[in-house]
Amino acid sequence: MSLISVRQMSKDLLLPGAPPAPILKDLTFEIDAGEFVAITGPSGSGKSTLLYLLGGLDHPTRGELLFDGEDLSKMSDDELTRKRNRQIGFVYQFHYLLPEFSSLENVMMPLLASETMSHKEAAARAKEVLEAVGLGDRLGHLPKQLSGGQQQRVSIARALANQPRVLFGDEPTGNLDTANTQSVYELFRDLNRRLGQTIVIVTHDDEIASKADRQIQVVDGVIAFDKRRDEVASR
Amino acid sequence: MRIGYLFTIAFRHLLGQRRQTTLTVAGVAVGVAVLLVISSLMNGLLVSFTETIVDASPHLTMTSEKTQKESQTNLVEKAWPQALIALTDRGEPTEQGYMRAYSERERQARDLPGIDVISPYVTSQVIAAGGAETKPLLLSGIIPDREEQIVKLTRRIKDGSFEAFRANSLSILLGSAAAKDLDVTTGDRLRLISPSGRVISTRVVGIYTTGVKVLDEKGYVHLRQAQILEELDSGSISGLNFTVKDLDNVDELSAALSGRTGLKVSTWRETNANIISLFKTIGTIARLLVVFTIVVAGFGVANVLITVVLGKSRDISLLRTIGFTRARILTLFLVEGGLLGLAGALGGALLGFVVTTLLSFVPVAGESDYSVRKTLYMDQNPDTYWMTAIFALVICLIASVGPARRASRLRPIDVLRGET
Repeated sequence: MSLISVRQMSKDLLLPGAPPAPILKDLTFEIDAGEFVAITGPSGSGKSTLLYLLGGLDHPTRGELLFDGEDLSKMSDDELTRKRNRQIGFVYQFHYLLPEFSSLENVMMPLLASETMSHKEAAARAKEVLEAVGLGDRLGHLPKQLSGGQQQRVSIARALANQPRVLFGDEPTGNLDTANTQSVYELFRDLNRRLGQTIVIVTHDDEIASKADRQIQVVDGVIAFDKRRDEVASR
Repeated sequence: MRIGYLFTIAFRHLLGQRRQTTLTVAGVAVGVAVLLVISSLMNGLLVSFTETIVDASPHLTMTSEKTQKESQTNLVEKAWPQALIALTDRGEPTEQGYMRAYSERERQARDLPGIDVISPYVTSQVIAAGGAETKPLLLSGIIPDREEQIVKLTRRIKDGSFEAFRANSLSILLGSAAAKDLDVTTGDRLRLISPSGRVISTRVVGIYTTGVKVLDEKGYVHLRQAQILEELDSGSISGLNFTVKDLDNVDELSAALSGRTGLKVSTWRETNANIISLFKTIGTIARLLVVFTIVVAGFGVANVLITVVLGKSRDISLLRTIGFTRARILTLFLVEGGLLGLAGALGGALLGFVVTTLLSFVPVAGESDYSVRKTLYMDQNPDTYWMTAIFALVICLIASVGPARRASRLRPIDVLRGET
């Protein structure tokens, strides 16, 4: 069974006093565990909306959205929140680290929010993840004391803290220079190869997109193409 | 459930708004402190006023007036319950208001354990002449040695002496207000004229001040002289004044005394009910006004929290995406409001304690010799502290409900979209 299964899913933008504007139209596709997927498309094509739907941040207007066999479209806000906490990791274009908290504390947040771990256990786990992303020596630093690349690594560590089934990235390298973009990509690649981490990112970066195992292009709310890397390369 | 981390986040949020947080906490603290100071000042005033009254007045007073039950039981009705015509025994006008053969009442009271001093008195309204002015004057005829134990006149004498009063049966002690009113001083002669025309010539031997206005506007003569003015025999009096050994028993003793004699007995509290309730009303109004200060401080709390919510909407959204439920965000901001309230309540309690303690060293202005206390009495009641602190905390929590709900309703997706 696929990890994510989308069937005839649509999303309309509902604004008061205006007819519903379709953003995503009747999408159907699946993502398997262990895949590294890049979602591409021009601005306003609906790719970010798609990512937020897959990540349980929003409800589809119509259709089915199964995540690990559970229909996210039927879940309450609290259920989705719990799902995001335990099974979903998010990395954004901006790091969104809490400025008053150290790297370690930022990574501890989702662990503490699960309210199943003691402070000590959470700290130990956060330290482990930060070391894994190469920031073992930056535990006590505040976000403002870190470089852009380091900040993004902390936010990746935070997304990975609860060992999510899927790591979602919304233009995770969109705000980074070439060197940092490369190093973040390599981190993703490594997580995917070594740990089998499922990764789904929205990106404008053609190079990153071409390196992903699979590329789904969204144009005007429909899937323009959905190809594995070997197929993309041969195009 | 482990929600200690919410406190950590709340702390950091508030410390991030250091200046605003400090001002808000100071606002709450000042409100709490003022409320505490006003409360202990008002309570203290009531206590010192009460002490002054209790010190200078009888604890119980028995008059010839019968209790309701006694007076309503008509002898005719008793004898002929079916009688159509009820006769009302009004008695003779002169008899009414006086207690005959008081030694019997005295004996009845003496048998009650807990009664300390018993002092008979005769009240007489006379015209006083002799000074520059001729004016009405209220007199109490007393047995000096007995009344002395109740009113403690000796230490209230400003001029002249109590000894001279005791030694001379035709002397008068005047309250300072009365002396001023009549424009007489120690050594002057004063003629007392009763409504029925009886005249007694007395000499002013002392002037006293109690601090209680009604007492300072009257005068004291020997019991016998008052009886003469009122045309009474030596066994008749207006009433009996008592002190009790333990003030806490005053109500029980009052009931027992009244039950035993069938006569009306009032406690010092009943006699002074008007002024005590006035004190309490003023206290309540003062406190109510200060309560508004704390409510205003609550607006400050709402204000700082709204600033945090607006300034941190991105962080709040992030917390929502990584697994903070709406309820958790709501709790977080209630905790922030609670922390502000707690800090304000603690600071206010401390400030209130310091100010109250300092105020308790302020000397009582004016003629302090009649007051039991020489400095302002501030009533430091721990219950007042608890109640005020809890009140401030509750106000701050209520104030944080609005911002907290607003924060919990932020949709992460709206904020994320706004950024990209």
